Amino acid sequence: MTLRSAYLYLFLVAPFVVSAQSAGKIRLLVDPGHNFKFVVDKQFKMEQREVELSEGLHHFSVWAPERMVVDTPVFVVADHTTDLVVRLPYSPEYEHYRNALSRYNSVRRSRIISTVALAGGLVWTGVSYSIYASAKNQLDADRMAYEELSTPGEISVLKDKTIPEHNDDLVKARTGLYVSAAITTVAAGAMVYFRLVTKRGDKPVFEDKEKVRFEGLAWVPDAQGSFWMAGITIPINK
Amino acid sequence: MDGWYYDPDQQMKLGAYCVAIGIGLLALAGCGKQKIDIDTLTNNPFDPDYAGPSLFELADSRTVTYTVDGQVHYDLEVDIRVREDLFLSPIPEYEVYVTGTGVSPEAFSGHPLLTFTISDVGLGAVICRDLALRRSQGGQGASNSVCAIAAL
Repeated sequence: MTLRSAYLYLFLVAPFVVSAQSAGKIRLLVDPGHNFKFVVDKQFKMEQREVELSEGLHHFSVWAPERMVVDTPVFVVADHTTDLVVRLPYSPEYEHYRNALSRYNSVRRSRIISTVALAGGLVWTGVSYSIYASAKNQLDADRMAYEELSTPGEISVLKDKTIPEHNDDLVKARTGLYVSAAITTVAAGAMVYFRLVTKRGDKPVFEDKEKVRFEGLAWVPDAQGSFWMAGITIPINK
Repeated sequence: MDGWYYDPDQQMKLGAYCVAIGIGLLALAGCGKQKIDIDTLTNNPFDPDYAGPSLFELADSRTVTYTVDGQVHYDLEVDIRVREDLFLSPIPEYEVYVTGTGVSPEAFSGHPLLTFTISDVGLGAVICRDLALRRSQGGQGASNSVCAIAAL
């Protein structure tokens, strides 16, 4: 029997044979609620939520992307709809990928944050230094004013009020400069650290081995009996 | 590799530069001029808290003899030099206040010699007067005492 005759048997003859038997329905309630596939009796791959089968015991292999293949027997009762509730656990490969991606994204965020912090710190340090330099210049001007003033009253005001205020301004400006320079230095160190850390790893890629396994479950009989269908996944987004 | 991976050597250099800039700024801030210590600002003669060298010094003194009703009297004429070399800025007009005598009748500037007379002194007496620098706008600056001996 050729492959073509096998399909003819499957789609033209089999329904008449099945119609002679009692049949029941299976309604699949699968977690995840969508995008799942299943293979019935290790032969027929389907995606619909309900399937009508002959009465008796059937084998289901259910799979969804990122999940493990779950094999389960199901007994179909004639003229009755049976709910098949299946929760597909995440595959170990996916959980490993998810953790690796989370780490990757975390480090990537840290790289961005540290870079932004460094840029902000440099700007802040520049502004702080400008304020500090201005405060220093103001005190230099006060020194000059002290030497140039020739009115005792103005000298008293300069010494009792003006210079103390400008001294306070200098202390504040210097503190701001210390803080901004320290934060900038820390940000620079963090940026270097995260750049060094992340250079070691590429972005994780998920290889769904369960999909390969699931695709290999379906087989179709041919003239010599049967042959296996296998599938491979080629990530084309790289 | 994704696009946001760069040459790690360049990253190291960039980081090293940033750290160097930070340390440099800190060093710059630490080595710069600090606050003004107001207590050290005492060298302007117009400062009421002036604490430098004496601004007024005795230049000369003379004892003048005169007779009234047959009785001999002595006046002490004192020449005071104002050390304008101690002024920090171009010399403005100023006044000198002498205790017991009052403010000098004229403003000085560039002619730092002041003469005042102390009447009816006894021979051998040491006469001291406090002198102070003043401005017509008000306020008093440097001051010190000058002493002279009435002698023939």
